[in-house]
Amino acid sequence: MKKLLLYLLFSTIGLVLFAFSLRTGIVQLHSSLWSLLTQHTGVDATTVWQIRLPRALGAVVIGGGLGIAGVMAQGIFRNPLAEPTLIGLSSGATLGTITVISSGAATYGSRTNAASAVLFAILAAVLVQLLAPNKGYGFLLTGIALSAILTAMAGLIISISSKPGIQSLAFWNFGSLSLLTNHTLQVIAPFIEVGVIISFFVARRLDAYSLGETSSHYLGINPKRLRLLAIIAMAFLVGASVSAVGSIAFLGLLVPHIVRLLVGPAHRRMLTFSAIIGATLLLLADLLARTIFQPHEIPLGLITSLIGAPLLILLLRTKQSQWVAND
Amino acid sequence: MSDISAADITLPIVHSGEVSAIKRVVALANGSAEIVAALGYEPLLVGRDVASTMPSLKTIPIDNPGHNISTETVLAQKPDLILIDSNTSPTSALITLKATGIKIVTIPSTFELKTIGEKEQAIASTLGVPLAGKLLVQQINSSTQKSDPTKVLFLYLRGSSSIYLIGGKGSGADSLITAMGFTDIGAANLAQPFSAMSAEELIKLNPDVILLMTKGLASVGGITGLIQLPGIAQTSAGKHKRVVTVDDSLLLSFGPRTIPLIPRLRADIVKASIL
Amino acid sequence: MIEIKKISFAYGDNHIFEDFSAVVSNKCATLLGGPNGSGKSTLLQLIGGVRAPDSGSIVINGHAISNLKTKEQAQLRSISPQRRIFELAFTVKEIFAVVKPKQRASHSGEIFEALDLYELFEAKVTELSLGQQQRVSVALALIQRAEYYLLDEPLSAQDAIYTQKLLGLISILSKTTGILVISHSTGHIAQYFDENIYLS
Repeated sequence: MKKLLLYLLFSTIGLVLFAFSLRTGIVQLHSSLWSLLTQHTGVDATTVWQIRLPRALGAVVIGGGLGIAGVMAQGIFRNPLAEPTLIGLSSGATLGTITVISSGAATYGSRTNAASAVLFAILAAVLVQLLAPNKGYGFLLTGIALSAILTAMAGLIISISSKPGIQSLAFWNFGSLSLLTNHTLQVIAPFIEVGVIISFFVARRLDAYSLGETSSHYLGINPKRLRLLAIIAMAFLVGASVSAVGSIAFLGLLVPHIVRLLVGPAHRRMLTFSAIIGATLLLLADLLARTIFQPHEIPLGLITSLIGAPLLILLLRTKQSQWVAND
Repeated sequence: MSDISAADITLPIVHSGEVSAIKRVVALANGSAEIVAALGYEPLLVGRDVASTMPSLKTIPIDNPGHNISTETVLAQKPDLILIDSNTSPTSALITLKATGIKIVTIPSTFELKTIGEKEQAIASTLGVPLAGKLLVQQINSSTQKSDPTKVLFLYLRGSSSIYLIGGKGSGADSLITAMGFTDIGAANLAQPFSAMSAEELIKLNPDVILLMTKGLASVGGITGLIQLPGIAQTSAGKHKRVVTVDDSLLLSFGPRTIPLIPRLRADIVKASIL
Repeated sequence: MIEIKKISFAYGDNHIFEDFSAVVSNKCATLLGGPNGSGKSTLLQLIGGVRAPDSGSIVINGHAISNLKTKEQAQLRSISPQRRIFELAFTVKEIFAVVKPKQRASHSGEIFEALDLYELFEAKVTELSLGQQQRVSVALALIQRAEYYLLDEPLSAQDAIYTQKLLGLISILSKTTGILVISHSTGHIAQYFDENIYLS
């Protein structure tokens, strides 16, 4: 009952923000959203349907996807610090995107571009697996180190390339929804869908997996296969969004912590909620990014960090932690 | 789609017959080498600024590649006059050059049509050739062109470094667009010389024709890439691909070539507006 | 029948088993004893398939475990490891939900009843005492449908009353399945078991 109410509450907040995103911007609307539903020409209709709608939908799809990826990351690495950006996925995806754009193999927003981001993300995560010592924080530290290398390589390629659409390192590192169009959204949505489906498919097993690797093996779960599936799911989610909007900080780390406090640690329930919370947070962040200093747009990652980090600190301080350190 | 390249506009050159006491000039001020040549003293030039891209000046070395002075190049040319303006950088190089005792003169910099004359006269008097200056300034036709309701928007694009800017009041392009008799829709709405391009701003301004620099268009992947930038396709100019480009240094050179550029560019924009 | 056939296993130079053979019979309770470091838990990990012997084989009901998928192994045997990680604030009910209904043993209700777990269903597993956590962990193994139940030190954190209750359950279950219990102190409970394996 409490969960149903929470579900309704956050869905409503999300919907209100969504409508607000469609209404707000530099172009002042002269007609209501309802009346624009049937219009396709004119400044108001063009602005709402071709500029604001892909952005708002993009915030929902990408925010939801990153929230889910965060839950998967913390679940599969059994670590409250795990986040897709920390384990090489985001930087791998960035490198993948930049490599195909700079080599001329694909342009920004194309299917090849998204696919190569996903592929590089998988390769980066697998590389971290292979390189990391199998103990303590070795895994996360290896992920951080590899991320640094991959980001540096991406920066290197950007600085020597002059291909159109390659964007600046700041775009990739801080993220921005400003380049999202209906076309790009249509390209990345199926990739994110694949990531979501795999995530829900393995969610239950993550509950068992949280009891320990040996324990989950005894329960009939193959940990290696589970980890591979989780990595593929995260790579699809993170890769597709990075290829279109760059990497957005903190969302993947923050969302699981909020969701765990709201609905507990069962992964399947967490996934549903993290999609809603992730979407809502990114809608809010994008709305702020493009309105605070209008007409200047602030990089999205700055907003998500500025909101996300204090919220995380507050969360960890005020509420009892849902993650007990067992040593 | 039309493009005006550097070779399309020829430099008007005057001949006053005066003899300058200066023998070797390094022109670092924006577009100043072109003015020296237009005054009829091209043989004096030993080094030129990066914005003076006239084909006839090709053999003269550029002394400030990337807008940064190469001090050693300048000194090796043994100039007896160096022309700079307030944008010449870096300051450290200027200090070094001043210390050598070479005569350094600051020329007013201009991003407006109406001050081109001042700049030309300043260079003429520095060279000690006032008559040549007078002759060159006379060519500036002060009469503005017939007014035309077409809304033009200037965009400064550098796709490879993610620089997408809308030209507003004081962008430089605004004085050209106004002189051609069009409305600079950017300058009419934006008080800043440049502001970040956003899809919504573009839709709100809704230009009929977009004015770009040649390399600017190339940097976003040509017309196809341009149309893919959010907001462009939704403007009247984007819908009909009404895009006019001008060589990067020619467009905002504000020197002698600016005068013959105006009627030529006006014709291109009028042609584009009826596409 | 679980057959351990001439296995050898070493951690580096530390040889734990050399040509070791043993049998865990069906419908029988077997006690596996021995001092610390004698390889009791290692043997369980070998039977459980998380480690592989250097030589020899382990066969459950005629199937060599090296040929079985993780899932197939779990249908034959259920194992309570010495330690499960309870870091996330699951409710006890959510922990048991890890075993899907169709994998549940028909005796699950009796296990919950006997170990007084129904009353803990809504409690957070992270807030339980060590003894309660151990009962949850052992019960999680016992509610899976399997032909053999292998329990690693299931009594170490239990008081006299629950020790009795668990031993009672083991006796009952051993009428229909095979049970193997690891304990480092075997003396006082040996009477409840049909067979003994002692590692030294």
